[in-house]
Amino acid sequence: MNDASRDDRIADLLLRWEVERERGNDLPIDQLCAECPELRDEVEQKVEALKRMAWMSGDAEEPPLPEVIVGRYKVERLLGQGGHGRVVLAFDTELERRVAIKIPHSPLAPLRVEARRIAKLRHDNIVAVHDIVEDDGQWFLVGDFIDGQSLADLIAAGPLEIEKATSLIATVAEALHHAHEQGFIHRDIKPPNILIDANGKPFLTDFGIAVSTDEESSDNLGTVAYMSPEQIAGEKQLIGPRSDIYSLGVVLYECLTGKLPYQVDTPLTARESVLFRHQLPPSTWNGQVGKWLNRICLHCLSKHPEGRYSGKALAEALRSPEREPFELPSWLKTSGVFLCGAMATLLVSFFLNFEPELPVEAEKPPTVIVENDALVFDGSYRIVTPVERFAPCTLEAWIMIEDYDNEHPRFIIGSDLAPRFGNSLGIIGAGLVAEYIPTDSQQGIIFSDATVPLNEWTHVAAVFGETETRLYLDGKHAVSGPATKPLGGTRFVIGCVGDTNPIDSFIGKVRSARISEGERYFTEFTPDESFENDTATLASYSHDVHEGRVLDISGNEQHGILRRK
Amino acid sequence: MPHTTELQNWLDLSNAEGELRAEIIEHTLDRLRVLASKMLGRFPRVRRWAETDDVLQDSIIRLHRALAEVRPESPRQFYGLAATQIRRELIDLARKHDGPEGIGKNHHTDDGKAVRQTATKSVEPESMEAWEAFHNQVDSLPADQREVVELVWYDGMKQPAAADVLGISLATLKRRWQAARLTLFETLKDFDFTNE
Repeated sequence: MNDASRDDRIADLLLRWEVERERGNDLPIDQLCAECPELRDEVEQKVEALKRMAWMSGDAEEPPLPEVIVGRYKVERLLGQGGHGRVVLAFDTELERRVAIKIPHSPLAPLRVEARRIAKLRHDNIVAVHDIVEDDGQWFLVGDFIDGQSLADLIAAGPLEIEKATSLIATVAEALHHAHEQGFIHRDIKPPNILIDANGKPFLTDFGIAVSTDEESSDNLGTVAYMSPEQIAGEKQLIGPRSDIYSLGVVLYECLTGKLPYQVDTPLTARESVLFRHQLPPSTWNGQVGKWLNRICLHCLSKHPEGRYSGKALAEALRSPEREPFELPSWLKTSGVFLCGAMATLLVSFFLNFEPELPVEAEKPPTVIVENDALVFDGSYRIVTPVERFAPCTLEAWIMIEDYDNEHPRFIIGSDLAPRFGNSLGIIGAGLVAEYIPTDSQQGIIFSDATVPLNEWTHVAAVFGETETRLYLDGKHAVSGPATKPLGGTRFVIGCVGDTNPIDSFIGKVRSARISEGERYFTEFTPDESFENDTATLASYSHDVHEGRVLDISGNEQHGILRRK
Repeated sequence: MPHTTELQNWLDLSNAEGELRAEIIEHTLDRLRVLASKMLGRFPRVRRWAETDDVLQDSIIRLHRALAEVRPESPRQFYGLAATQIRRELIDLARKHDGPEGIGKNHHTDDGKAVRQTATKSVEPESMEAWEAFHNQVDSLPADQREVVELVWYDGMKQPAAADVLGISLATLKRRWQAARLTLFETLKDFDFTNE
């Protein structure tokens, strides 16, 4: 443990001790330091110091709730409390209806000015504030009482149905858009601030009351997860309506998956993730989430505000009639099979099972070596892509090898499904080779005379075309052979010959690898130093590794899973 | 835009909302009274004087003037300034009641009777010298810790409200509040509290 993390740990322990003390519990030091006995003495010393400084802590307990406010609102019970204040349920004796009254912690009179502005904000899906009253020096915000539950309660029961999630978030996005047009930014969009009434209608609450939740605003894991990168980074000039859209994107992600976009366990790692890491698409966790919805969600979560939707555009995207309700693989969509009942369930299950498996929690992902922006394959791991084998297709990569293996083939991209060969690109000895699926036998390898140089970045490509298979080395045509048979049944793998046949591993570096639809190269060409993400690209990988996955940088969300050999 | 709005509200506030402004200033003066009496409380006779003599009255007047002239740009700036003023006045009070010619020089304290009789002895200052050291030490705290002490202790805000003003989370505020007290303890522990 370095000094900084040791200090952090001690500060955490002391905070825990203080919180318990505020609750009336004097937590014994031994219990407090049960998991870190090496810190015991220092913690004890500091606890003693804090006890001796207790005279400074005059932060009083919450005052009791008033029974009646301004002689009109009869307080019934506490609905909730948080960092900004308490909310009570009260009965308005004049209009004879129930209202929710917010009692801000803050004695700051200036908030009243802001509250008056908020009271002018009116929308069907925003909890209205219709009175601001002062009683005995305390001021109160009187608003509609929404009899229902919060979105946080709903999510706690598991992911929402796709239709329900998209419809709900679209409605909230519309409400946000209205508020944004009026010059408001919420700044604290999160599931507890979205209330759902008995009819399932969502309401955005706490508008503008959370006056400043940005900057370094939170060490609270539950809050930081919803903050936009610009809020976390304190980039005030960038904070605006699209900061709310980021937060709403996190909420959408959570609705779809029951999880936050980043699986982290400390505020520090949460901040780092929000600032620097890409999210896995929601479909990683919920196979029912289609690509269109992945795209919408990840679009909301763009690091830069300019990359995100407006509230209106988000609502439109979610409600778009052109979206695909449930994306089936093309063979299923075009097979003409009439799906019904158990048959449909079986096929859909099959399809879902075809998605990349989630990382097995018990098995830690293999350690990947990244050197000079390239993945170093040492034979201990491979990358299983979610791209089902197909043809015509083009497989290509930028590679560097240090030696030749005269005994075993080394496959760079493979799709071998034993006992049949697959569409694969590899090296045997010093020569570039392709495997293909012959129509009349199980074995088919196309050898070339093209020698893969040592210690040089080299572009290698195999085009599995309609009528032939072609190999290219650094853009030069190496050899042509028979066409492959377009068979699915397995997935493309990078780093060995096949998913179910993890042998003949590639040893060397891969700077980038791309799988494209159709025949990308017909004649000789100059290879691009970095692959463009054009419409033919199905998946493209570089060295971007995240939580056991190699990210697809093409935008098609075909992230690869790292597997031990 | 909320930032602009907030700022504008504050500018409006500083120019127009007299009632609101008076309310905040009155709250700040109350805090000065509370803290001054806390500080002087261990000197019963001095406290009696202070309630009537010109020393505290002068402080209150000075504080009122200082705040009345302020054109704050944010709640954070305003409350930080108010706390600084309070602290200055308290240091001034401490100096005037301490030293060879100090008003409280020949008067006895309550011999620490007000100190809670617990196993752990509080390090609440019991001498004017200790109070002065305390206020000066607050001045020397890292800026982020000092701001928290100013709002929570000098301005008497609740922690959630102080977190709001500073635009930080409650957890961050608690951490800073804790770190500040540990630093202040290091200053105060050197004073001998047993023989006051």
